[in-house]
Amino acid sequence: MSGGVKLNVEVAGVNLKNPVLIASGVCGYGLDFRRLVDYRPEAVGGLVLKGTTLKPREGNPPIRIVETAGGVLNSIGLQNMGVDALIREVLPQLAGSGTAVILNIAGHNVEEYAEVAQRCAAAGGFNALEVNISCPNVAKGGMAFGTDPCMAAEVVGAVTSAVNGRFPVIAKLSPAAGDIAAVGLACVEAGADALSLINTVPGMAIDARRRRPVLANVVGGLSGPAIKPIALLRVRQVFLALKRAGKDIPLIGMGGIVTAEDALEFILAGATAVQIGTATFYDPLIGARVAEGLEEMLLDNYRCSGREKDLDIRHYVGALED
Amino acid sequence: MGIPKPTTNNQQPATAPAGRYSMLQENGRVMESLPAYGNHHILRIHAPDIAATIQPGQFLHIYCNGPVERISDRTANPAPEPSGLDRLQRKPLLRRPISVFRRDSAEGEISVLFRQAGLGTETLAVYGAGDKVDMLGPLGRGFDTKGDAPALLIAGGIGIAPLTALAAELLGRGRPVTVLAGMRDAASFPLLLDNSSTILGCKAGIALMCEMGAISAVASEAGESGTHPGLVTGLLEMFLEQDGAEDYEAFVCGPGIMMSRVSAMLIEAGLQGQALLEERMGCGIGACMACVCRTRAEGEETEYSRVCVDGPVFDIREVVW
Repeated sequence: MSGGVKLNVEVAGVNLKNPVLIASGVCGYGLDFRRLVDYRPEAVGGLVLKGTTLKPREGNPPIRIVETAGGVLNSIGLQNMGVDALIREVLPQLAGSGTAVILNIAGHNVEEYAEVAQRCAAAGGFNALEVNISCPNVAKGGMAFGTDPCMAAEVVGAVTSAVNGRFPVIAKLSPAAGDIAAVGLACVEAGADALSLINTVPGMAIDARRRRPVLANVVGGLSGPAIKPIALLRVRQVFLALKRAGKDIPLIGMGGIVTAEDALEFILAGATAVQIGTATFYDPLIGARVAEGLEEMLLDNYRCSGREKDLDIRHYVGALED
Repeated sequence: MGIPKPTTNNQQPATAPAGRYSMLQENGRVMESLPAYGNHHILRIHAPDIAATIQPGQFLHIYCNGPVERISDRTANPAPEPSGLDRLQRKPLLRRPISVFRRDSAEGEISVLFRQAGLGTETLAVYGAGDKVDMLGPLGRGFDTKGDAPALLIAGGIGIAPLTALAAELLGRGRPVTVLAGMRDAASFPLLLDNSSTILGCKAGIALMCEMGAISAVASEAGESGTHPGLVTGLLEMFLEQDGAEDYEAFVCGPGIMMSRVSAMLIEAGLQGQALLEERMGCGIGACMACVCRTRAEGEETEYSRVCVDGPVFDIREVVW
């Protein structure tokens, strides 16, 4: 780190060299980017791998993606190789990649989540588990787990029991929840070591000429700069709710981060770390650029203020003056 | 219409395309920006690193955020009004996948021919000489050109663009090339009708391929003089009736419905073939799983394959059309 800037943070016992992670869904299993000349995974704090389920899933029919104003709407449908292939084929290749590896798990009933978590924890070779609670709960008529505090707590509780303290558990919250702070608190009560937010915002796009939805699945998840203000508010709300409840639980913020300034906004709102998703589509090396940008911003702040603590990213967490 | 028999020549094949590729982010410099025909546009770009390795059928993932940074002064061709940006001054967020149309490794140049179909390609058409263009490439699995059968190229609309790069490669390898092209009307592809046509010194599509030595026939839905009235499948039907047609290897690119019908005809006639597919993409490098098509390996269940890395070129028998 140049100029005495400290970007390293700790999230639920995992030491990250900087607070910039690549979000689940945009970096696959962390291997595709390796063909890109100049790719340096060690330049980011960590990679969150593609959401993985118990069995392989083939995902939704195309069209799966469409650009909308300031954002991207997607409905991949969790196409993935299944947890056994992940453990057997992917995790060994990620050993020694010089950055934290976070697995993202998903399921359609509580037992499936627990089974995936159990198999991952038994295999090892990663740093933390992120639980995607935005999936439809088949047992409850397809209502998303993450929209209801009780259902969210049930999933997170089952996962933390299955993991049994071997790895930290991060619950990834959905902005579709009526009261995201209540869902977040319920996840923490159920044993989550950290919360990440927000997942994509449900939306749709319409092709007026053809009078049809653009996405084959009709509904997609909106990401990108269009959702940043929504995400910032959710992070702030959950941060304050946890503080009021006396819970010292780190948040990982995301939603439309493109620049170092965007990342710092999330950190000021209460996030200890951030994830970048959609922006990697136009710049696969953006994680490294945002980390470097944060370093420069902190250095600039120090030069202006002369305060040592302005060099340490941890002093910015939740430091919004309101 | 008569389709002459192929002749073979004894030129040595060029070196085989590299199997495993690495991709680069390269800031190319626009050398020339040319309105081609209708709403089609050509950019000639100096990008020596990508030009050194890109193969026909591979694509560039272009960040079409507008000509924000000029590498040198614009010399000619002042940029036209950015009509695509009128809408809220929006800039595209995602890169746009565009096939290579021509490459000149010696000059370090690549060209793209594209149809302005939306915000991204409309913005790309605004770029002028001297502008920086941010590209990822070369991406995807291109055409396999290693065979030695005479080649039958079947193009629909803008599908002519990647097949032009392919024709150059095949002819360079001494493989005879026959092109069947379909278009809506002459206005959407005027250069097809006159082999000597040039626009600002740049030949496009069929005219270029004929100059390189390909044999061509053109179908037009509007049925202008000099064309086969109707669809390219009509031309293909006539072609397949000829003796020896099954000895050809086919290469197809066009709209989905056209490729589906053409592939069915080719398979029924017993031809080998490859098709270049198009799908909306996110990352372009295999990570996001957005750009899938349904495929079936022999004896296996169908699955979704990623157009960006498993393709965009697939065997016509592999695709579930």
